[in-house]
Amino acid sequence: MGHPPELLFYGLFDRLRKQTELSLSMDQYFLLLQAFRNHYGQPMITGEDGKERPARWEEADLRFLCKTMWLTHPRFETRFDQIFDEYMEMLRRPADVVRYEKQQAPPAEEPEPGPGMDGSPAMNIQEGPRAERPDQKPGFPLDSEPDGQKASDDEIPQIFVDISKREDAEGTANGEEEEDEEPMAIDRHPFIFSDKYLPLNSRRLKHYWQHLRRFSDRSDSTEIDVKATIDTLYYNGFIDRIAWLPQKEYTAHFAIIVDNEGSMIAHQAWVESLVRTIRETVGHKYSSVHYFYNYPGRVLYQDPRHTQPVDIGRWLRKMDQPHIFLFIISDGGATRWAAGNDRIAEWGAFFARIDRRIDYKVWLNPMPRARWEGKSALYLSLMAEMVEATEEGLSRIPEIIKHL
Amino acid sequence: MIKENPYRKYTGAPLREFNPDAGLDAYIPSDGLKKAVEIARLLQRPLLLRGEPGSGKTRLAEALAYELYGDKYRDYYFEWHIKSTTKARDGLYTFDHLGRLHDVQAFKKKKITKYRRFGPLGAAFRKSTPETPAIVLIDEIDKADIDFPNDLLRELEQQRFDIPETGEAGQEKGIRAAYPPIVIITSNDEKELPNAFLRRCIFHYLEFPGEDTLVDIARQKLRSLPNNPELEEDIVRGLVRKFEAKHKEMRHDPNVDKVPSTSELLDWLQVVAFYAFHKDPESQNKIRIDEDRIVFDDGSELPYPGVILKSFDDYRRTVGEI
Repeated sequence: MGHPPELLFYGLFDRLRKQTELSLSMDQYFLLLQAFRNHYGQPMITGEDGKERPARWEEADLRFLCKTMWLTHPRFETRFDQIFDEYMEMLRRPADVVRYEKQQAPPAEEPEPGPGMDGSPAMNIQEGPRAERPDQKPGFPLDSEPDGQKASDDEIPQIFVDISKREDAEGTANGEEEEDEEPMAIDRHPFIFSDKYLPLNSRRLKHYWQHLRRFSDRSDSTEIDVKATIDTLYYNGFIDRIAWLPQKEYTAHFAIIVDNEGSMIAHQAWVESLVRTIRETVGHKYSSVHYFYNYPGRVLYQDPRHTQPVDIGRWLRKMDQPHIFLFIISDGGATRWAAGNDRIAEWGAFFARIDRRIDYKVWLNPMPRARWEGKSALYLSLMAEMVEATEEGLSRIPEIIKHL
Repeated sequence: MIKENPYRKYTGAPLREFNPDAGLDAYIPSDGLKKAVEIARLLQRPLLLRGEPGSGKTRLAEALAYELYGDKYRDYYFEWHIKSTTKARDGLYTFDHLGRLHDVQAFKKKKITKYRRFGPLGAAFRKSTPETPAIVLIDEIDKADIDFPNDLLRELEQQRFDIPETGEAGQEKGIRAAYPPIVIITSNDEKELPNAFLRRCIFHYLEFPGEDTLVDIARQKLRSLPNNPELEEDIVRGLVRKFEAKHKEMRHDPNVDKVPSTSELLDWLQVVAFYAFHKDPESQNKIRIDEDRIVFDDGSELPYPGVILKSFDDYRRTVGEI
């Protein structure tokens, strides 16, 4: 209790930051507050006097506003919607909010955070008393309209929520059944292989890997190199030629193929994070990611669920850059107890099929080198440069490629 | 925060129909898009539009400018089409170093400011006022180098920039916008944009339009054609449905190279209409509705597939299926 009312929807913002890959800053949270304060994105109704007034917030409008502010890419939309739905459901069940708050609240000895910077979803607590208004209709009026008052510019209006679905919350509020209630999904302990499990952070990885963007000079330059042109003037006393700036263009495609089934399931989270970082570093246009199980065979899959096959020949044709780097992420059978001849033969056939088109292949093996001994991985490491998924291994890959 | 004065809401109404006087095709924004434009304007943030190519991202800025300023919209509307070689400074200003060098050698005296030329963003900064906010289109920002968006951060946030060559630099002498221009940025998602840039933007994703909107767009497009072919309402709808079915099928096929967009539909309609009214009976390919199905005289299911299908593989696969 006692949280400042400015923390409107902070719970949602906090969850989006922690549970999605959206990189949101406080500035973006304040943007939402600014929008709320000024009724931006709020549906309007025309009053009897012919003037427009802010109407009751509907969930769809709130969702739209939050998406407009925070959903930086449509690929996060499904997760965004899921978290938004969970949050709205929680607003309707104040008891869950209290429990979530207790878990998230800092220890008592810690200093009280300043207004607007508190990490807990305090706003929701204030929704409780408002929610119990018997005359309240469903909806999300963020302004103080129901009380007949209009929010001033300096005041963030309070939220109150639909009480039509809070039967179980009533029980909890009376101290009953609290122990038996199913914990909410957000309260569960996260899986141990989170995206924070990378041996180095994405910023350092990007730093190491920025050299993967390979350029070549283009002959059809159109931009004058003023400095070089003036230099010739200094040397000769007259301009005998115009110097042109060398044009740069990407020449390499980074083809990532990921083994994401069987023993590799345990590595999915960080592999996903790694792939994302690589693609952000080299650019989405110049990279692609496909999936397989154990070995590629005749097809690769465009989606992690293996529902969209693509023929190997077609996959190669789609990469129209002069150079192609193949980056394989697989344990190469290192988790098994012995070498698998089938696996080695299939990989051999795959490499034979693609070798003429691929400039270089690097294999990232999440299992330590010691585990490769006597397994397929050891034989496969002779077919492609194989590195361990350690900081040293990951930082070596650009070096390997650079020295082509 | 200074506000637009007077604030004129974006309704999409003036260009709901083809405007022959202004030479502008109809532009029919969705409610979501209109709302996103409002939010971006009110918060004075750039609006980043994403969506399939041909979904109408680029035309929004022009349509908005036309709605705000009518026939004079060109005075307040600035387009910046990004290329792979574009640098952030190009949008603000360029300085004619060679011209100045030449003039100095020829003992020509000119004010140093004569050598600077404002780019689209720089010109918009100079033009924009609370009464007449300028509109800037930064088209296909993802084409530029990865550092390009970050290079614009300071200028977009502070609404000012420096020209060191002319001494127009610093808080007092730098070029400053009296009011932030309305910035509309489009991206085809070819490259990831930096987080620092994203956090300063408002976002909207343009979905492929639904049937009714497509029919609306198609009708307006046909109206804008020089010979103005009068296709009946149910024929237009039938053609749109045929296209939509193809679009849906291709969208869910992972082996498709290029999913057709709204612009391909409009091209296709133009071709279909052209041959439907062709004077030469040999070339004519009339269209009629038969039990809710569109039927072409030449018996083809999808005539002129080359207008819709832009890759050889897609073409071969579709034509083979017919």
